[in-house]
Amino acid sequence: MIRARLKLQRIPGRIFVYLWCGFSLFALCWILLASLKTNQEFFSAVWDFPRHPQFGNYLKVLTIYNMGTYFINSMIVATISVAVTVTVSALASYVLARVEFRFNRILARFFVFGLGIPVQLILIPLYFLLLGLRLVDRLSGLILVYISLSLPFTIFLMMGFFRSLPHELEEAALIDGCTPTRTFFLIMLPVGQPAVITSLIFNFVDFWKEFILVLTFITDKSKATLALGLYKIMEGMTYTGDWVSLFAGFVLVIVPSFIVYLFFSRRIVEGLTMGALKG
Amino acid sequence: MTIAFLLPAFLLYSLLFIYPALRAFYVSMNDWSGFTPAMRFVGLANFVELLHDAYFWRNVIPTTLKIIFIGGVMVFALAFLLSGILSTRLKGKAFFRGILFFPSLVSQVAIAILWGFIYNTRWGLLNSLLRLVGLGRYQQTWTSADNLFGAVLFVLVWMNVGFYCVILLAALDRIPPDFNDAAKVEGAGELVIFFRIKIPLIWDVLVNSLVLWGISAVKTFGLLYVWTGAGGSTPVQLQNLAVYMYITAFGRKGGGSYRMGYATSLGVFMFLMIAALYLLISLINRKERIEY
Repeated sequence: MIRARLKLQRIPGRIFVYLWCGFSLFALCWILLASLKTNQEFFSAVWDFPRHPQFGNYLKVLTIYNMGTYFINSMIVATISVAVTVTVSALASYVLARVEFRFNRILARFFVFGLGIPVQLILIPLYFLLLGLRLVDRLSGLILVYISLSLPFTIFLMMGFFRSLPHELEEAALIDGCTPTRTFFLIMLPVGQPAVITSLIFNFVDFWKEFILVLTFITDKSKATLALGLYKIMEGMTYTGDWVSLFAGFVLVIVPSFIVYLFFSRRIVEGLTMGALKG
Repeated sequence: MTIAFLLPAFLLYSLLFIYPALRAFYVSMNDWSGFTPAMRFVGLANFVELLHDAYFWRNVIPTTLKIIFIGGVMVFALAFLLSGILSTRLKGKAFFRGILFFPSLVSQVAIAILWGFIYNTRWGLLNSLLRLVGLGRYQQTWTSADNLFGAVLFVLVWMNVGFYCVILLAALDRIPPDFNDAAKVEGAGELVIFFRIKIPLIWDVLVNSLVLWGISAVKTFGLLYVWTGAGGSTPVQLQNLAVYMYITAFGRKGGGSYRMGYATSLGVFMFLMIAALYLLISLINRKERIEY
């Protein structure tokens, strides 16, 4: 009888989950369908399926609206930023977590402190610093900014992982005559692979959708990433009224995130929750 | 080895993060358009002006606080509800978790486009759905001046709730099932179990999530900035600290003043606000931990 009562209590909650998720999914499908319509169809028949799927919308948004360029820029920026961020962070967090030296604790705190600094505090000084270095409106400048601003979180994440490893690993290596540097590359890094992969994916997703920094540091349209490019197209819609192409652009931005999520959802969730669970 | 391993991260972080952060405090004490190298030192004048900025106090601060507190209550209430339901044995749990969480991974520009069309008065999804199920009389101009803030706040809640839900769910799943079973044997209902047993057990995680929400809520920018109103600028109802700071610095169609010093003092204000939120939450959190 208790069991039956428990089951009954659960029903309203479950309906709520179904409704919430159902609406989100429905909205995404609706916009996907809209991206295959003509503008005329879209405005006249909200619920109808596209009569002839307009794959031309995608071609148009890739070429005329420059989404192709934005896509390549996003790829370049995200890939390089992620590679450098993770390499640099792995080196630093290993030393901070596993090697005893004088300023160890202070330095670890120094890096983690960045988590509490809002980007708005540093935005203007950083902008003029990059302007002085002639790095504004360059992908290389944006990459440098992405790397340095993602260091606190990445180091925080990796430090936590390296700290959780047993000390016997290094002791055994030391007895076998392995130098500390070799120990890191041959033993600790392979063992730390889960943390490395989580940081890679997490940062990639984050760079892919980043907005305020690219909005500030890139004004030249040909250097825009997808997030900024989509915004430019959206701004232009007031004049062109070509909404179905905007939807096609929307789909093109969403799909890579979706694919990455499908394959790596466990890792992404891990990366996001690790900070909150470990504290 | 210690130095060689630390150096790249240390240099990048110091030069492109800590140095601008420290310099911000100096810039905030200057009058500066950014167009010329020359700054005029004005001491605390920017902060004094901030104290008397009527628009800031009447519009920007209320918007920011509403996002943090009303938005926060909504996000956590929903995240609790959803994670509570998902932590019971529900078929397709991973699938629902996936759908809930996906918006946190998506560009906020894309989210603005999606919801812009859901809310569209004439051919938007929401009004069309209402008509379809015969509730046409509840149709609204969702983005009218009166409704706009609430409508966009809901989008903010929608896109954040999955993230906190996943964190809480991960914490709930770590609770040993014996606790649950023991309570059930004693005859405790699902709600009692949730509030009296599960929440105290995940208290630590909850506090950390609140800090995370505080920081990210203050910084909320993309969705609000992109939500373009008439005249091509961000509607006043949506101008929180982050948006106001950005427009003050870099301008926007139909507004903006290129006042770098004043904008940076807004950045300093945001930093202080985050510090204050952090302290507030740590003070509340003087409760004992429960080990299990």
